[in-house]
Amino acid sequence: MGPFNMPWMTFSAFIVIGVSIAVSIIWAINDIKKDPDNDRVTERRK
Amino acid sequence: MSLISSCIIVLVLYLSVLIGIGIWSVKKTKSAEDFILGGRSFGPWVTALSFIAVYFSSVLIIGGGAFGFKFGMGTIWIGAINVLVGCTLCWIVLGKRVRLFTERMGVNTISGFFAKRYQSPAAGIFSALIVFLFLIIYNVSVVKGMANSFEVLMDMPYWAGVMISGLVIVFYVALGGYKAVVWTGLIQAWVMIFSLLLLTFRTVGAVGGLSAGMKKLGDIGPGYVNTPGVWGWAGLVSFCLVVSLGVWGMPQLLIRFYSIKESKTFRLGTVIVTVGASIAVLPYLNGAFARILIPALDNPDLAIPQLSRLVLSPWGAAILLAGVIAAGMSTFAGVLIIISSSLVRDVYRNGLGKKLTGAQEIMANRIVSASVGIIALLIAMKPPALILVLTGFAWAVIASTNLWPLLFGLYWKGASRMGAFASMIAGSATAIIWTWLKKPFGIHGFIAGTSVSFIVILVVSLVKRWTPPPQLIEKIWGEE
Repeated sequence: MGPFNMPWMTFSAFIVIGVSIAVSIIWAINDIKKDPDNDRVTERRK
Repeated sequence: MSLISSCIIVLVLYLSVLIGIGIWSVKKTKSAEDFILGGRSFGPWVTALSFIAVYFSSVLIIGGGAFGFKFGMGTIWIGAINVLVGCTLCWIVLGKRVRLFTERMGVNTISGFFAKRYQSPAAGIFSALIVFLFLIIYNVSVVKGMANSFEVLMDMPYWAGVMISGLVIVFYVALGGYKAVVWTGLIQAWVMIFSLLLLTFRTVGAVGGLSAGMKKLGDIGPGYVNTPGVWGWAGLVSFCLVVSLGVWGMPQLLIRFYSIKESKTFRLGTVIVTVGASIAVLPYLNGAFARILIPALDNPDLAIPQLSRLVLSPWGAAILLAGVIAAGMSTFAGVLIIISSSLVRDVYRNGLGKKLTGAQEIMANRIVSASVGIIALLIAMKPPALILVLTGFAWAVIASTNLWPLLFGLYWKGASRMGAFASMIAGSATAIIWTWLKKPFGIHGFIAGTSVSFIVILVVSLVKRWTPPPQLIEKIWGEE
């Protein structure tokens, strides 16, 4: 049994939501790094 | 104060704001592009939240609660997959690319994208007609959800609920176009989020907390807390796919991508849409707990309205009603603008080659959106019974038509004109026939339709090779 008396399989739905949020943040950070217009990254590349 | 008085005050305030936005948007709508796309000027918050508002209609709140009540807590997986596939991955895979390509091609609708990408006006017209027909069906089910809530919470006749909610939407869409749809969507998303959080907070309190609620639900039947529980894997997985992957072919949601201001907007937008969409699990969770609080309920569609009467104060129930209405209105409005632009721009102007000035196109869009809205309202007066079955049907056909031609068109230069057109016809026909045959082997029409559509576009494109003209390839893919 998982947290809140939920079977793990049911509770995993909340884990999927957490993973989705993490994926969106990581994707956004990667996208900033890839963007040549991003000043800080361009500075670092120089 | 009584429930009905609270509802009237909240709704009058809320509907006045929407009408005000409609009137304000008229002044901001100066061209047909403004009416259809709002001039590609929207930032991350407004785009992401209006995406949520259009995605999660009153069907989610009312129908999701019904599913939770019938099948138990395992249905929260539907909300979780909505977040991951329907929002996060949809924004990452389609967002930037759809915006970039539609801007480079100078098109404003998904049907226009097909016509130009595949150099096939027939594909554009076919897609526009499917969108037109099946989104009306979808809109009827959305209006029904709103009117049912008026019935239960305000003891209002069904027809009055249809008319009040429907006519306000038709008014602000026909006047303000896409700008009105997006800005009202922003407000509607906040109302939905707030009302669902409020309901969940009170429901969880009423069952004695999350752990105690789960224990009580498990005592009623272990199937109500397990996954897949009483529904079974086939039903749960196929429904998750329909309402999550199906989004990828839905023009009323894709339009958010090409109306966005700039590519950078997708970064914050993707995070906002993911976090905001997490509310999608709440109707299922509340519906499941309604089984503890209202065990004798006959009609699962009434789980959320009855629950709100039980656990919320009159003001709280009024806010929830506003949330349900908001969810329905934003979806109805988003669909209306897509139908009018598909008919006026894709079928009449581009398909039939009729010339329209900017002012004439705005007027034509206003007339079409008002007429289609009123037709949907009239149909909704005596609607078919099962909301979610109808919605699943409409989504299955639209997604089976658009999904793969869109994805292949964006990511594979070799996707051919004939492959796309054949895929659209085969996918939509399969989805219709499959649903008409009452879903053989328990497989949803969406799965059957999109599978056939995928195979057809791949095989036909490989067998009969075709690529877009070099100048179009240069224009679309050139700067990658």
